[in-house]
Amino acid sequence: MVRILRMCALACGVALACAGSAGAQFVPSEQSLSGVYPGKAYSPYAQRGFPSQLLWGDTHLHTGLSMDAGLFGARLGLDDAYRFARGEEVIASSGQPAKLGRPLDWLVITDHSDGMGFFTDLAQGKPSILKFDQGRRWYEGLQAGGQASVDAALDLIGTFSQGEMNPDMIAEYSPGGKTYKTIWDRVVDAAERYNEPGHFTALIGFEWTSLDKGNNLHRNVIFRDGAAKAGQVVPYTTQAPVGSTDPLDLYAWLENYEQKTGGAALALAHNGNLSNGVMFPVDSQFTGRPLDAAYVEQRAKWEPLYEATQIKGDGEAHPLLSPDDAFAEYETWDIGNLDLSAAKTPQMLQYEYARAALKNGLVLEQRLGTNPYKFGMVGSTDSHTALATAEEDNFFGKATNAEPKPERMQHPFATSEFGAIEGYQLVSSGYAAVWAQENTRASIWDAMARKEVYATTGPRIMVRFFGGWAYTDADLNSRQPAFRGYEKGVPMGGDLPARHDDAAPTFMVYALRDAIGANLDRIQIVKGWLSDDGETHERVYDVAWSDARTPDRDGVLPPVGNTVDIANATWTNTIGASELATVWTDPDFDPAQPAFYYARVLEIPTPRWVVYDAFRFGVDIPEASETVGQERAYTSPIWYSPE
Amino acid sequence: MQFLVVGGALFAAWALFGPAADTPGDLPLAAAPGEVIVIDAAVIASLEEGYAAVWRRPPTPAERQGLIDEHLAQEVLYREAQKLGLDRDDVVIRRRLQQKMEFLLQDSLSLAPPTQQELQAFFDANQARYRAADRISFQQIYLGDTQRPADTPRWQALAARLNEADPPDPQTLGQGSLLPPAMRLATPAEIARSFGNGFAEQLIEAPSGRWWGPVQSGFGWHLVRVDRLQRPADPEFAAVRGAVERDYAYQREGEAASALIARLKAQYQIVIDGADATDATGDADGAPP
Repeated sequence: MVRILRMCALACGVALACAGSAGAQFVPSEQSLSGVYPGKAYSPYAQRGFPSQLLWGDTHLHTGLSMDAGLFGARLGLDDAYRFARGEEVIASSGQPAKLGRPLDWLVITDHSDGMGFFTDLAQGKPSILKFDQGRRWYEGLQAGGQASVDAALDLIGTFSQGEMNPDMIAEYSPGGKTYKTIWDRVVDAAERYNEPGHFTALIGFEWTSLDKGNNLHRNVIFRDGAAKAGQVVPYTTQAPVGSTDPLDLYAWLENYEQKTGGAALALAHNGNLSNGVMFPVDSQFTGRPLDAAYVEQRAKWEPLYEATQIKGDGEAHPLLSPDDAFAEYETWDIGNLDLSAAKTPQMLQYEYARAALKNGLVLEQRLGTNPYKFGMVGSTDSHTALATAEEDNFFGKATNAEPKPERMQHPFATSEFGAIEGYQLVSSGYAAVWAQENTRASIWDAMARKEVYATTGPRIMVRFFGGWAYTDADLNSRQPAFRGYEKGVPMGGDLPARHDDAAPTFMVYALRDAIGANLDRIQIVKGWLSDDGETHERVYDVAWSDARTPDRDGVLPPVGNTVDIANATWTNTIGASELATVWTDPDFDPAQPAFYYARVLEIPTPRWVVYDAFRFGVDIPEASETVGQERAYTSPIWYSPE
Repeated sequence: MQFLVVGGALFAAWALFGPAADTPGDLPLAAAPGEVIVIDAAVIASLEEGYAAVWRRPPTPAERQGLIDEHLAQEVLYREAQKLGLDRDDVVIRRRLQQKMEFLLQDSLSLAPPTQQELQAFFDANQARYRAADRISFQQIYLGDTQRPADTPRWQALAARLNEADPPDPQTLGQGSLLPPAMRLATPAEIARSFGNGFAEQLIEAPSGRWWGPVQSGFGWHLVRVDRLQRPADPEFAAVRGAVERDYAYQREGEAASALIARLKAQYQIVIDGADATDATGDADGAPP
């Protein structure tokens, strides 16, 4: 594409040069020009500018520097987190050896900016912290170990969520404090030491831990830059007066960062399922400020991605919002907010889940001119153990108190008057896949910014998703379908090219199972659209599936089956397919209706982590626990706008 | 102040349930005659320093007296606690002391940066770690998954045909697949990403420049042709110095912790379960603290 543009530019240049100076310019002969513009390269591998590397990582990991992680028992730091992600064996905080099945290609360590490093000093009993009742109480809980430490951690989280941290106590661990700068320098330095272009990328980041009365509005900030630029600032916090819980203030901080340093950064919202309805506002923010053009523009600018799945539940779809989607009920957490200080009501759901937000984004685009919820999707762990585990047979839990041990399924994760989130409900999920040109900071960050990324709940399923007006089966059967994909349309995260005729959009989608994982059940395409009456709609289409099944009279595809042997914690790939591919045309396309499309790829059923625990420890799985699930991938959407 | 309350409760409990005293109200534990508690100028100075660090000013005379009183109270309770053996059996105290030692150890390690000789020695001992990855260029034909039995004679015949003059186009053979038909100068890690673990190792063993197989991947059977195998040269210290420094520091921290434990253990005769387990050489044989 670039070549063709260059050709045109040169040709125009020559023509203009000829026209401009009234005959004084010499005109090259045709023969002399032959061979100067070789056109498209013969070799398909040369001149190839599109991303061909699939790189796996985690956008959301905590070490002992995060105050809640430390209180839950995490003793591992930045070095251990990087080493583990790169495939080395480390000793987990609970004392047992841990190692990933396969290394990750990149990692973003995102410790909480509020009170970063506070925990280490709290653990050492620094007098500047102990002189406050809060500090002393937590210190003593911490020292007691075991359940008392966990209770102290929950108390600290609750205090923080409700905005009741003593400001004088954490002044040294806030922007302006010398200790704070030192800690941030350590974070940046560790990223520099473990960043090896071409081999492993360490992106610099932090978590801006916005909470409104316990409602989770966290954002992970990811820098494109290295120490030279990221080291010029300290992370933005949420405790007033220095920080703020309002995302608009975070956007202002990001703007300032880019102007001051010439660098680039983006914000990635935490799974909204614990926000109790405030993650994706439609009328006004939780601050009371009504949505306006400024808000939607800023949000669209700074938040190109969204965390659709993680340890604390899956956030793609909810069964109440999508009653016709047989697979919407999956690792759903819908009891309340982050500290369970408030129960969840059904009205909140559409402002929390990815698919609903994508739909509401179309509404806001019509109303205010910009779609604020035009995000790509990633999965991440949000692990607080410094270990980025999302493999079912290698799950080290949300925090150190849930690292492998016989009774970890029995402890509730959180309880309050509104109910409980049980230990067995923790999800061994997820990872982010990035289509990039090379394993470097710039290449990975740029892929995130253009949304050519997708989420999985842990398995490394390869997915390609392209949208255009003229894909055919011949494209799919060509030797390198991706070439055709980029030539004739856009990849995931993009906008459909302008429509020139009466065609309906075509999508080329193909998926390859995880090389050491389970077969695939089916590929679906999820469509959401806005009709003329201002209502949003959705529909899930099965577009490719295994084992030559046929949909029944109602168009429902029979389930793929289940080979899971719970007693022995295994399954077999005797059902499903190792790869699925298709070109699909939207049969219900209406050119007047804005729409988005994304692919969801489902594996055959496999055991959840509780089954491996039961097998290895010889304990029973709690009655109420799910034991089997179909892991999945969600691609970033492709959007259609009427002219 | 909490110490006083706890101490009082302990004494009360001991008085009720401890061995009978000669006279009522007589505490069975009393300071041995002549046992002295000294609070000298050095101790007072450190108390004042600690106070000033928190309050940003020296204490007033009244506050100073309060500091001394509190320190005295803590000292007597501490001594009584030691006599009662509270520090030996209390898990909380044991862990608190262990943690304090660990922090002290971390502090002392950050003082001395490594010398050039130490880094060079570490590098020499761990050269394999710093060698750049192998790079392999290869083509592959996917034959089918491992659910069906291997048809080795037929596949080997296919390979032979491909190795003759005027071979058929490899991409027209085998099963269609999304797996890449070829990779150029890929590292074993990149190959494992697509084909699963173990495939790259088989490629390294395969003969070069001709079709060969069947070879097994996470997806099933393949014929492969390795066109180029690049095994990197030994690494140069200067090129990987940053990584060496980083790894050396990480290892030294772990080693220092183990060595300290070993040195401390060597001071004792250790008896486990009735058998003498004293390690005479004092080598570190336990897990990291």
